[in-house]
Amino acid sequence: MSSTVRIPTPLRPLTQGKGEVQVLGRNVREALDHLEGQCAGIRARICDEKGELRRFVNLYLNDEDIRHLKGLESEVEDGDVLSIVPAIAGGR
Amino acid sequence: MGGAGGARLPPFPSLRLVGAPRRDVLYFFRIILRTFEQDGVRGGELLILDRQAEEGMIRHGEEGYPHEVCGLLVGHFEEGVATRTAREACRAVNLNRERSADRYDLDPADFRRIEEEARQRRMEIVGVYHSHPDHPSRPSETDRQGAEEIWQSGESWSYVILEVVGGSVASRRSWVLRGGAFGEEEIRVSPRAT
Repeated sequence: MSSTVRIPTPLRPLTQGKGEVQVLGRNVREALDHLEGQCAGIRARICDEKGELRRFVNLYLNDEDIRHLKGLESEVEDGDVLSIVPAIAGGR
Repeated sequence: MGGAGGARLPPFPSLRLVGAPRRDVLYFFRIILRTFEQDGVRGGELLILDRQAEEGMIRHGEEGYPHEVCGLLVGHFEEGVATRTAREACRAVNLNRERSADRYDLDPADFRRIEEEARQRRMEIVGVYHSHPDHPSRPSETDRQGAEEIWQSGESWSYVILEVVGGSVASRRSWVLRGGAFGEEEIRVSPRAT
């Protein structure tokens, strides 16, 4: 399945500045594997050492947060859009 | 520059130098330190802020007082990421309702919406703003940690902080994270170029 990954600005140094990358994979995990194959080092910014999604990263499959689906095992259809969204937080 | 400035200087200690020299020495030492802090603008980093973006942020900060508000700045990067031009300030929801007086969690759904709208207009997110109710416009350790999670050792977009005192914006300053530490950047306000 071919899908598009939207890359936020903080991760674009790893994609030669590209805001979108085309990937293959039947689920989110496979799509991230393929993304890593093209942009070395990017998976470590998205997933922790255990392979789970980092706390400060949200992944949307089309309009749905994958935490509300099947997580990294969520199935990806042809033409889907996977958006990496940084969790922005702070305060005094 | 960062506008109306940061925190006030400490009150001057007793002029009775005899018997209390350490307090006076400490006072002048703190002034010297403050001078370094306020002159901490790093060369080559600049946020050009359209007047309507500045006004939008200020309105948001004042309307939201005494809660922290947050939003995104949309515009363009120039010269790599050393200069950012913010055309618009886009409001986002602060999801942290339990500690909205001193924390913010920007709604990721708003991030997606704002990013998509910017993309369709050939712009992108160039910064984040948030308010510090009754607190100086300097990044806190919480701000630093939140930014470092996203940027790690890379150079970040702009982080604008609004100091809101009693419902009015008293200062606004902009910061860039690089190598895990925040440094202040210059803000230059420009009229909207149409």
